[in-house]
Amino acid sequence: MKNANVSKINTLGKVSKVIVVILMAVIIAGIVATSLSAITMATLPEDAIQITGSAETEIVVDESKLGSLAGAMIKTGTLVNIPTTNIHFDQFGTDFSLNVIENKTDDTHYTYNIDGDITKFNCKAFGIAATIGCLAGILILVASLVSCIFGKRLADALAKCDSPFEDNVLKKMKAFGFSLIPFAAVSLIIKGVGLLTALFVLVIILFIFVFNYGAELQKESDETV
Amino acid sequence: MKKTTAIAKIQENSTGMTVLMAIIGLLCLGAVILGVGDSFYHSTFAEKKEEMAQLLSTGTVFAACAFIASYIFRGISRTGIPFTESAVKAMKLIAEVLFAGSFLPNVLLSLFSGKYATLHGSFIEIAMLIPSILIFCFAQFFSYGAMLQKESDETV
Repeated sequence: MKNANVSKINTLGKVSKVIVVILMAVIIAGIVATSLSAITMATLPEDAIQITGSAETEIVVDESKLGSLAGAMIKTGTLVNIPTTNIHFDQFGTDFSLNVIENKTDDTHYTYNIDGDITKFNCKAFGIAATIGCLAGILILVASLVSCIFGKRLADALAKCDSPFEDNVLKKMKAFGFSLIPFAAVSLIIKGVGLLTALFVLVIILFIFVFNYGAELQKESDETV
Repeated sequence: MKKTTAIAKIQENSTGMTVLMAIIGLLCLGAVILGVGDSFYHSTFAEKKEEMAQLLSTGTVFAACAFIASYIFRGISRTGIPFTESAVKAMKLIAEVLFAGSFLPNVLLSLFSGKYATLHGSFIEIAMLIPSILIFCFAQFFSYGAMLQKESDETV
């Protein structure tokens, strides 16, 4: 009969396998959807969409004229929920701004002033920027899929193992660790070498020694039996 | 790798990790105190509900995890043995704290706003939930390791 801890590890391995398979399906769907978006964005003609203009809106809420239920809905933000915003985007040949101001004249009167303005819109540049964004997304998703494939192998090994310190599990764990390198590379490119990256490396080194020690204990235990 | 070499390497690394984790814990606590203090001083707490909920929950959860980890590493650095019952209990505690941290920001934000609100559109933060599950799995490995360690000690 298997040790209770090993049985728990086997169950965790099985559960992890199911989660990883679901995650893989989601990632594959994401890769397909992002690839389709990238193709669509890359082939956008320059003059396909032209947007210019401005809009001004004022929303006045007078709570004193509302019933108690509607008043409560206003207060909790269920009926009117307009977050204050101040956006100005001037990149890739597009100049766009949106400004939302909330004015409270007294306890029962609210005024929302919404100002929107778009002076330039470059459809081609927007398409290229969106395509680059999609390609970066595809890279991250592919890296995630690779990690998931190795993660599934590890989960499989854990689901069938007689000890978490046996050679097969340790090999799969190392392979899973290596499959995380693309993530580390992306994190290095985006954030540079930070305290968290250094900490992550230290923890991994420590775990290698800990698992080697565990493998030694397992060997000892097997030889004693 | 020989058992004694492995123990020596684990001890070396654990000493550094004890200090590092304690520093991280203090930094997290410091960030929470400074952030919340600043918002009260400038009376901006009500305007920055989302930032405050995130800072309070994530900061305290990370600080708690760092201090517990520091405690684990201190134990390991003293004996060189990673597989102990106290390490297993402490790892499970980290998993539980992280699990609580997966929904704590949204609970705090809802309390501050007086209505149900979420920070990123979902009640549970996957970024906290996955490490919680992973650490729980590792706690199981360590639990088995502790059993092997006991066997080894009894044999010797």
